Amino acid sequence: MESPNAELMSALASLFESGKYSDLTIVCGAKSYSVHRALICSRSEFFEGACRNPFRESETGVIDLTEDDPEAVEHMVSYLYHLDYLRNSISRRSSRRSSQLSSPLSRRFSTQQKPKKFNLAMVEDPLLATAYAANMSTPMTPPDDQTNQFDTGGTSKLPDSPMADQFMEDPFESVNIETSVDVEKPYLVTHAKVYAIAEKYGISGLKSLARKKFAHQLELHLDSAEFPEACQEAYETTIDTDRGLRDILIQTFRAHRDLTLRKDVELAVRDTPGLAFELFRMASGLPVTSL
Amino acid sequence: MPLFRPQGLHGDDIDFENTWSIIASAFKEIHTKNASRLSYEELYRHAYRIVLKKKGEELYNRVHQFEQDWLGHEVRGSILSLFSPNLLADAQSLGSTTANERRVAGERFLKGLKQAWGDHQVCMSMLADVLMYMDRVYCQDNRRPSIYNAAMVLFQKEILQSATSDVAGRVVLGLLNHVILDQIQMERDGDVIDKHLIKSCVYMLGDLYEDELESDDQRLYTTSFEREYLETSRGFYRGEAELLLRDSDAGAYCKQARRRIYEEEERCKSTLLEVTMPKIQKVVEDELIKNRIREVVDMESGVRFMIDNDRLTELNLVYDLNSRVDDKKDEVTRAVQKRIVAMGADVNNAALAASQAPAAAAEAGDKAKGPAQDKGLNQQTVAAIKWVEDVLELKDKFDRIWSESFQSDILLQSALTRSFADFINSSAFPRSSEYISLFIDENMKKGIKGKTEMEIDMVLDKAITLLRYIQDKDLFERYYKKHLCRRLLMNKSVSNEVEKQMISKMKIELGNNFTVKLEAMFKDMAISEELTAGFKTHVEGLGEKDPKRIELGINVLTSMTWPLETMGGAGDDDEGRRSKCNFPPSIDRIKRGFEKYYNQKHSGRQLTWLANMGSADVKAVFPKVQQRDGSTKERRHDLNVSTYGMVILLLFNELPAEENLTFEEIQAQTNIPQNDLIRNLQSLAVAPKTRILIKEPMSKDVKPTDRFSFNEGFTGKFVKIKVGVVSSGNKVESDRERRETEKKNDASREYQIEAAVVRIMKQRKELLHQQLVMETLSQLAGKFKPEVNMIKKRIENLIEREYLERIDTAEMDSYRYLA
Repeated sequence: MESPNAELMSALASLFESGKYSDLTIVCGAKSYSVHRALICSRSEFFEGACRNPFRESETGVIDLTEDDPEAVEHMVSYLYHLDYLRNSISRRSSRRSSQLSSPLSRRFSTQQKPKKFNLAMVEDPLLATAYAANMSTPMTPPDDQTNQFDTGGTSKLPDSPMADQFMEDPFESVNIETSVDVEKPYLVTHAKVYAIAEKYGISGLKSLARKKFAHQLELHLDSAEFPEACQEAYETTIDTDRGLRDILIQTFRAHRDLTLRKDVELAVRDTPGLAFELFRMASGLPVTSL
Repeated sequence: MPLFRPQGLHGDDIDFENTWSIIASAFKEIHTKNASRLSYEELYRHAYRIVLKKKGEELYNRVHQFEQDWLGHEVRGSILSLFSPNLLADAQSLGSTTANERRVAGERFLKGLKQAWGDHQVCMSMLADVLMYMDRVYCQDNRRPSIYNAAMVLFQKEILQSATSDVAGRVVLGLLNHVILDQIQMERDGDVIDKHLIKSCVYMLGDLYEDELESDDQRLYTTSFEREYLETSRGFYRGEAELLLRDSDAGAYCKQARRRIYEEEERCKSTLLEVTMPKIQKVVEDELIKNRIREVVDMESGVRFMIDNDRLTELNLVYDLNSRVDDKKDEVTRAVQKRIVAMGADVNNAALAASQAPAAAAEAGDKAKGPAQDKGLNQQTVAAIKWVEDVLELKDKFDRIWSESFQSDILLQSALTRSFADFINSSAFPRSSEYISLFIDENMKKGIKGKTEMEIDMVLDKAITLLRYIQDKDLFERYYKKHLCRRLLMNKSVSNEVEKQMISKMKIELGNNFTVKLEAMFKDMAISEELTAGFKTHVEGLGEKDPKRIELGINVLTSMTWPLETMGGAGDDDEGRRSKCNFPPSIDRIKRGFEKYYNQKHSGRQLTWLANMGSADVKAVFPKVQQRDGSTKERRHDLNVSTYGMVILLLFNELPAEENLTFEEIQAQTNIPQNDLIRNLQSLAVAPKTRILIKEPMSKDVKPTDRFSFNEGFTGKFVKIKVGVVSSGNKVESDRERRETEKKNDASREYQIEAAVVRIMKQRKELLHQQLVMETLSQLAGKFKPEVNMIKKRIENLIEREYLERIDTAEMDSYRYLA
């Protein structure tokens, strides 16, 4: 028996998966998502602005977010339909597909991303897998060929949908981070990026979710090599009055003084004036923000 | 570990000027309606990055400047091009252009302004969406108005406050107000205007504020337009009221006023904003109603005219208007009350005139004696009935007005009631109680004959309706008792049932206390019937049936219950003699028989025989004597005479035919009081149709030396002949009688006041004079309204009799109860 919430969630998931009734396309590089204005615009004023004004977007029905980080866009769209992103409860099932997909995925990302960035294709991400499962029939569809994708979206749904059992737990309950995220991977940079995109497009639920995940992962992965990059990401991608991730980091530095002794951290601090300044104030015993 | 650098977001890799020029040119496209070529995402991203790089303030200022320039150059120019001589001319002086020319020019101006405003709104909402991140982050953190709101203020400043070529120095806003007001005035004058267009401009004023704080009372609509609108309207309606009062009648005035109120209400819905509705209504109500209602009500064609001519619709209009400005509806109430009292006074005066005119004539003709006065009294009775009918008619009239024109308003109902009570209890008209009782009396005796139960009920209810207004219920009770007494004893009531119905209605209306004595009278009647029947059976049981036996019908009346003293129509001095009447032996025998029978049933009770109140049926045989028509038949008649009449006639039974008796002889033998004797002899020997006796010398007056003999030649058309005795019906009292009644009533009031005072003091022990008077008044309110003087006298009297004493030490007059 599905609970009413689960019923809605699974309906949304299948809408997303099939692209049924979709009336808007979000494009990010080579990827495109068939989404629904009703669901998207009611969550983000940015999208609403794109749809309600007579700009190009509302005429073509395509919003091109190529300028944004594709991973962040991916997670944002996932959140809009699933209220979560980077969930691993389906990883065991999706491994098959993700391995199948790894090749085109990695190829695509490699065209747009700096080589140093860790390769998403290597991540066992159920959402990515799902998204690509939906697009499998036309994996290389260019953005201007959207109509075709709408048509095939419904038929490309796999009979053995991984979404079906994704909502055994109530998604409206507090996010169960411990079990939902692969403990092996820190994803600190990912969360920081999601946080930034949520801020940019004004999706407050996603923002707090990303912050929560970030804080949780940070605790588990202090030693991670991602830490310095995450620090930079957090300080460079949002306006400095936004304390969400900054406070978490400062508190972490405060609790773990030895972090500053790490070489890679030192480099990051040197390169991130905002962080350096706040660490200085912290060390001087001043309030971190000078309001 | 190599450092990862986030793409495009770090450091100084953003050139503000470049980015701004992209944005600015895009804004130009938006303003020229070419937005569909632009990418929203791109613009958003540019703005986002600028803000992210802490250049939010600069961006904000640039946008602000951009809009200011745009409005100042592009938009203002197009507005100024709308000014035509016709538009500006009317702003300076009316009359130089026709209304139509003004309207066309005005509409062109309004259309242009509406267009500019609409464009501005659309563009600004697009800009605001592009600059969303700036609004969200920069404006909120720095407490600056959103760019949209700032642009609205700009429109206000750059367009609405820009000067016109108008010589009066008006700015565009002033001109706009003027044009709208001018158009509304055209509509008031009967023209058709483009309400929709005006409404668009009004909405604009509703969306714009004096400053950037945007508090509700700072809307341009409120601060600028509405104020002017209310002012102009006030002037207009003041003038219209003036004009209407001069040229129209009150009904037309009210119609127009109501139409105007409705029009303004509609205007607020269709042309202006609804927030104005209560304000403009107040203006119209002030100018057309509040300041004028008194004049309107008092106009020649005002409330009085409407009442007199049953203009129910117009009265309703007046009422409606009055109630708009005054919850108490003082003016209408005042006028209606005045009219009721005046009309009531007319009714009273008509009744007085009808009752006094013939009486005065009779007095002039003779020294107010016998039939002449009788006739007068009869006419007075007619006047009484007419008075009641008139009052009821008046009441019906105002009831109809009340329910149809005054929406059954409670306040007016009590005002009407007060006014009716006022004239009914007017000191100039002391006869209300008596008249109402007479009205009932008349209906009980004749009026209800042949009527259905429903109709009878209506008649009774009418009486009750009037009774409610009566203040001195005790006086009414006195009259009612008297009239009822006569009806019962003389068997005048058409229906005993109806009588009882009336009593029970009074019981509901006035309470048990009021009817207890009346009910006792009915009880006496019932018991008497049983006694009569019982006595008859008793007599039949005594022996063989005697053909000559006299049948006795008797009414035993409890002396305290019945107003016996009012029955004789004679003074108290006759009281003593009444019992001394000598009955003929045959009558005396049966009288004694009944006394014996009665004493067996109720020992210890004393029966007093009231011969003056009874009647008798006498079979009379007139011998064969020559008639005027020559026949000599023997004639038998059943004579119905008073008991005294019977006693007199029986004297002649024992007298030889040719002999006669003098008045003094009759008086000596019968011992009938002189007054009664005279009246009875008059009806037996003077009244033309019932001359059973012959009086010598023949004259109207009866003198002690007159001689009476049996009239053998008497003829009558009917077998049954009723010999009426003067003054036996219920009629309006003569003045003398009224004084008598009032005197008795006062005596009873004195007693009731004393009783009330003692009751109150017994409970309160000590009381201030003022309070005692108040409480006494309230205790007696249901019965009558005593004069304060009378209460004072009674208190003095009670002090003398040592029921109360003055408290000497008290500052104010106060009393103590002495047990």
